[in-house]
Amino acid sequence: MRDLVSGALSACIAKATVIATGGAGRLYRATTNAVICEGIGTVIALETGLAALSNMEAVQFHPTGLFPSGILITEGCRGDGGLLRDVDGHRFMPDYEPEKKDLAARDVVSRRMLEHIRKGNGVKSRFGEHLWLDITLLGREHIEKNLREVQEICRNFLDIDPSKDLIPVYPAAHYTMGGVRTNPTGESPGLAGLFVGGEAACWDIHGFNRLGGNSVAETIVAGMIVGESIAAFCDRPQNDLTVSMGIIRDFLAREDAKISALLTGGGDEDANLLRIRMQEIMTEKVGIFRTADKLATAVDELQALLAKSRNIGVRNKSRGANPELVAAYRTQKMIKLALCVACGALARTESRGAHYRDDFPRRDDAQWLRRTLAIWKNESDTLPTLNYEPLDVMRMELPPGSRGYGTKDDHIVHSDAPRRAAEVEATRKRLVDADRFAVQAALMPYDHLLPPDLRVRNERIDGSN
Amino acid sequence: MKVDYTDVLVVGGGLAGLRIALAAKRRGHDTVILSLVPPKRSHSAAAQGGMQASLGNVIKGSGDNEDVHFQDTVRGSDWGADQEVVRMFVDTAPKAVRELAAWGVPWTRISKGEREVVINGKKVIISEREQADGLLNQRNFGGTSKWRTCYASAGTGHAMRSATRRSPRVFRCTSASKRSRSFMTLVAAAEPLCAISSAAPFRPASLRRP
Repeated sequence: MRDLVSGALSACIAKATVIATGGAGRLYRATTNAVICEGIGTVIALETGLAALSNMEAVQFHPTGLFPSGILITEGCRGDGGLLRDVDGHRFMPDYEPEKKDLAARDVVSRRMLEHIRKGNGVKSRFGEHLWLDITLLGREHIEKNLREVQEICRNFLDIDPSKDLIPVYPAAHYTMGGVRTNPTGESPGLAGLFVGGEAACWDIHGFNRLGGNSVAETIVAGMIVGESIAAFCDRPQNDLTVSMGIIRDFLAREDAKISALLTGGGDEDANLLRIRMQEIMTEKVGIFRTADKLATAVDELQALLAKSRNIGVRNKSRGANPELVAAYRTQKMIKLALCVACGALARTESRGAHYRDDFPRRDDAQWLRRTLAIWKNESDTLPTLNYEPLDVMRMELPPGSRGYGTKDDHIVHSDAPRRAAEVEATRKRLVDADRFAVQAALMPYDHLLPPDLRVRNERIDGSN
Repeated sequence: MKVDYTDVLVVGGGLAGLRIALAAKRRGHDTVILSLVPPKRSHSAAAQGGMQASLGNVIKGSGDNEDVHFQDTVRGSDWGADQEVVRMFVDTAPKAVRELAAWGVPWTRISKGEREVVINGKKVIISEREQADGLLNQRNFGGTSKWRTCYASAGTGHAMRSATRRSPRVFRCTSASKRSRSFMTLVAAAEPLCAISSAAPFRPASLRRP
């Protein structure tokens, strides 16, 4: 690791290493994410050449990012009754989604918003087009009690009062469903001792779209479950560590050389310009609506950027505190991650959840009910190597079906789906008098995967389980 | 060269990193958290709206349970999710939110009786049950069939992170470090550059193999 104040390099050797570094919204220009959310931890796992990243092409755009900054305005606004409106003040979501309306899944709402703007219903402003979020109908008292932070954000960043003003919103990159692939224990199958939890992981709870409220829940739940896995891992004597000093020295020397190359290698590329260009490419060509030609162009352009990033030079030659140096090595890593997203998106010729292809609008379970795995084999590579991990339909408790919102259901059915659906139906009929736990256990036992202390039923208000 | 040794190195001081570190430390393993920024600046604090847990406290969430949360999540994922892991998750979410309540998160709570809510653009009066009085409140969120998102106004992430960060004191752990008084060594303002791994590619390997 590198001390950001002194610049000193050191090594930390641990039995178990955990990546819990969150997502990578900053691959895009407009994002709800903080400036530090660049996916660096994810790339560090990728750069081992052993840990695979899964489903990097699954990026969630949150429907209501403040426009133009992208700062998050919570889905709770709509949960509490807020509505999306267009340039005419018309509440448009029910036209597209009669059942769920403004509360369809985020990927669906984001797409509908962009569709509606494409049709000419956007609000024009000097920063571009946007739509409105209306929470005035909730009343000042409700906002000040249950949406207090929204009021603060609107006042601090836009000087508007959401109790009486409409909030300008536009979809912004928000959550990375993809991440470092792990087992149910949270361990990387490719690199023993590497654990990942939270948004940085593809555990995989969210598949191709995450429900609001499930990510924050995931962080603590992952902490509880993966934390226990790690403790158990460290308890086992065979996981005691012996690492040669030679290996440590080699790695430190290698990282030191990389930094020297940036400081004194005579490179002339500007890291900030490369990063801005990467964000533009991602926003324009690897965004909400994707097509083969835009994605292919994006891959080419990102590869060119990657080549340039190997020739970055920084002007501030300090080895100590040096934000320009930090931006330089982080940009080099970010471009690799952007390539994982773009390559995964180009290869996936279907639409699923947040990954939407204008040229392949149907969900294709027959060919694509599988997870993308990206490995970066060699440092000198310019593209990730993609593989796929099929999902096992015959073990699903809920066989593939329709979400009930989004496009009308015309997905291409998986060959095992009807058989599994029949099996599940038969089991439910057979156990019609049993309690729901018995039915669940018959369909898909999972209890054995939980740490023993967590195998407890949850109590509810009416005394039921 | 400078080398530190520990049992568990957690990179990232947000909600997930803090909670993992806590779990490892409680089981007696030395833990170091490496964070780019001071943990109270971790992006987890920006989460606003809430966390889902199938408690079934509010009237619009009654009848909710793990089965419903499971189905909503798998559908939401467009069947991309690992269903066994989703089951583990929906089972544990209620335990997580209750643990956080015990650690002091000021979850918005239910007041029994009538209240006005806005549903589908209209004001509606709903009535919360007597036995729900004081329990965790839950709001509606996208893609869910029951109201199950527990929240602390619109500052849920901030509240959760504060409680998780403070929680070590609940367990009265002592610190071995002279530098800091926190129970686990927290190295802020440093970032990892790479992970040391030493094995041939194309097969799984561990950090231990020379």
